[in-house]
Amino acid sequence: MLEINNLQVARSGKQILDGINLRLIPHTLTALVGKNGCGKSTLVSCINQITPYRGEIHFSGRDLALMPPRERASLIAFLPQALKSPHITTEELIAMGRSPYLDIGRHMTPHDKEMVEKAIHAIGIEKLIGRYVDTLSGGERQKVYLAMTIAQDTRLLVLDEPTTYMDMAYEHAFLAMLDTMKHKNKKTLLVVMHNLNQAVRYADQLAVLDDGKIVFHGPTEECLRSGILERVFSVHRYMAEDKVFFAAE
Amino acid sequence: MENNKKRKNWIFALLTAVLLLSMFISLWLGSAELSVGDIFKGLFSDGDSRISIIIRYVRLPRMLAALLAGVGLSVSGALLQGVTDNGLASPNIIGVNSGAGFMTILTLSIFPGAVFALPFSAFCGAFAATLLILWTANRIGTSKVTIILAGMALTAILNAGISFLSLLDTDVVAAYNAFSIGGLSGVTTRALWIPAVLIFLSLGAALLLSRQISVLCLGDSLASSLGIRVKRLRMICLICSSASAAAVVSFAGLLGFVGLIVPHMARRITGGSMPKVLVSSALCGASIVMLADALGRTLFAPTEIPVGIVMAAIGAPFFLILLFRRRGHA
Repeated sequence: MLEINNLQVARSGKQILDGINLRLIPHTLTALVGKNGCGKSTLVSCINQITPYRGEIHFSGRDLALMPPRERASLIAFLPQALKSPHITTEELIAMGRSPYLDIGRHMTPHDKEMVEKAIHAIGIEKLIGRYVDTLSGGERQKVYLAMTIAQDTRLLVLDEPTTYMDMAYEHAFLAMLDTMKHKNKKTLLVVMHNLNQAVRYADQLAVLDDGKIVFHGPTEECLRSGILERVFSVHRYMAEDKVFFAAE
Repeated sequence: MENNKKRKNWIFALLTAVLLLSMFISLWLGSAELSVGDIFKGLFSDGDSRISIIIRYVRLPRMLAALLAGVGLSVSGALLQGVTDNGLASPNIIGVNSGAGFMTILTLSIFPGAVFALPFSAFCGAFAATLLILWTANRIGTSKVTIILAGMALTAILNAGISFLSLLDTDVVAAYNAFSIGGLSGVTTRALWIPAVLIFLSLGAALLLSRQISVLCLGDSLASSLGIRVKRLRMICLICSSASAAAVVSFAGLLGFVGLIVPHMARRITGGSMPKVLVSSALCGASIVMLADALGRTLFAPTEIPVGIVMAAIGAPFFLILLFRRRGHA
């Protein structure tokens, strides 16, 4: 699985990420949390090999930087925060998730089409099929892009704030779906989350990033016991109906 | 999903029908009045009659030139708009046309007889201009407007260079005037062979890579995560785009607006996935340039208006509408 060793990113003389070490546990959901500007998106873009870095990122013992892009794409799916609204149909977009498996000029096989169908059902977006992506709302668009990453059929999913445009009801349903996916489909998930309450509720592991450094990485319960979230985010913790809630001081 | 597919097939059939009709109109209209029978006689009979000469040596080369110009510039524009993620990118706006034009004039000034080298020199100019734009945009920042602004600045410099070279050599001035407007009069079939090969090779390569280009249009980070070699693909697309635009410049001059407006029309008609955009751009572009050329030949006959002026009259308002719509979205 994914292993990050001594990752460093500097931009214009400023250290954005400093000595990041992170090892994901297979079939778990790890929430990457941290204040705005702490380097969460930079870290996931390093995993996606977009941002240049020093250090090493390995997947199953192999250096990602040396891996051919298509092979990497068959192992790790990535969903960025900012999503475009092209004038293409939803099924055309979801089918792009099969790109790593298609050679130049090769058409989709029945298996590829089956994976696209499965992804559509997994996210529950049957009603959006046939519509153009640029006519969808922010939340609908996010679901269609998620279906695309599911169709990519990788062992690891890296999602950068995937619920930003979703309404609260679907946000819960979506995170519950991710929770199911890790067991049922044996997926490992690294999810950048801005909502602390959702992160502690759904994540098995928490990675807390503060000022470019991982200040905690471990099971969610342990993180809650340590009180590190309160210190990093300057929040108070409350208990209600056996659930943990955080609110600003 | 099935209905959507059927609808698309109908649209492509309709675009092909419009193309065939435009080809016919292009052969039919002109200063000499010809009947439908005359066109077929001129095309398929072996004789050296007046009709055969008009069709084979005047109207057919012109029709083919308009077709190639439409295909080349539309495909070039569609590729540029795709890889730069900018709907305002087109060969003439970001300096590709001017680069090709500058090198063409430079070649004509130094080697007046080297007509055979014009497609190659136009390609070198277009590609150099593209590289310069990308380099500038990378240095300043690859925002959507940066590429456009850098292109406008480069276009101004290259146009100044073209004017300067024209002033040095009076023989080049007349050629440059027609060249800068963009026109198809006097074009011969022989002059179209090399550009045709360049245009169809570029179109073929673009179609072969069209699925990857569609993925690239989702943004660099998503494309990379879907296994696309972003920089390499963008470079190949720019080479195809430059080659295609340069090939057109070599026989049609600085024909504007085709590469800007046609991809927008194509996207609206068939949807935005790259294979469809490329095919529909090629079909629409060829039809539009052939019809614009036919219009230019007949509107004030016997005086002929170069196709570049007709395209500017259609394209400039379209460009303004596009800018207003973008402002509305912003």
